[in-house]
Amino acid sequence: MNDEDVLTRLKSAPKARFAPGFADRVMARVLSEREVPPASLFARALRRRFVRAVPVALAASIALVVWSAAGAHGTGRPLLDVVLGLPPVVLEDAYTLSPLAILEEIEVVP
Amino acid sequence: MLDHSPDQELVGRSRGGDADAFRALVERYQGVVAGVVIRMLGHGDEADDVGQETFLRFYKALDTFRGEAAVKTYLTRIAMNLSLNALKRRRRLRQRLVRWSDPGAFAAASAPVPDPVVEAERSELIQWALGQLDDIHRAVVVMRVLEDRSTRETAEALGIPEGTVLSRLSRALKKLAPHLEPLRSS
Repeated sequence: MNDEDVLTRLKSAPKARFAPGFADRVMARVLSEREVPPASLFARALRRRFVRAVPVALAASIALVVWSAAGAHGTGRPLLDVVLGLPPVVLEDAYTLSPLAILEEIEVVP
Repeated sequence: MLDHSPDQELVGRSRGGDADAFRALVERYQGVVAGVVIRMLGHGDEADDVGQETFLRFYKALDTFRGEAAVKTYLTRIAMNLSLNALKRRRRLRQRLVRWSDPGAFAAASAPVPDPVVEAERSELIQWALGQLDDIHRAVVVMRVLEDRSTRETAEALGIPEGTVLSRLSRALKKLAPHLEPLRSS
């Protein structure tokens, strides 16, 4: 059987059709899509705002990290400490009670 | 009663919220969409669902639909993409099922060979033969032969070069030939 025969047989196929009532089923879905509940509208609005805010927030975060990292240059402090804004730790800190520890001490000994 | 307004007018009215106008578009093009999804997926709920989804996607895209492509071309493209996605999902599910069960038994159940004498139904035999092709070859046959689109339109809808359409069509016809042999006598 050559290609021409195959094409002839394929084209002899009856037209494909959906089961009756297809347009009704589509319109039911379309109409339910149109009648969106208010809660869903609120969620959509929030999502739109979020999507818009993400690039700006991301850009600001990167800028702050770069700014902090640039400030750390030459100070000798670990880069991560500077980026996270942690105070420098010195030997003296080990012998000093923090205000929080003092409060705890007061509670334990009346 | 059928609305004989031009497509662009119906699209414009649908955009403005006229449900009857959109229904007229559905009634006008449901045959085109059926031609793609049923030939790709076979008859059944899945094809019906993909057909509905095609029109729903079109409805949601009405605001951005500029009419540069004809409604028919646009719907065909959505229908083909959704059908190919459905076939991928079906294949993944089948792989999972095969892993859990006896692969031989599943293969036999999923591809029943119709007896040409008993099942002389032409449509069923052609549908079965199409099912023997892989997705990319079936898509070309559906678009180029069954939907009678030009090679260029088929290439555009499937996102492949025209030369690829022709080579895939040639391979598909070779593969279909033995499966369609029983139609010679019917």
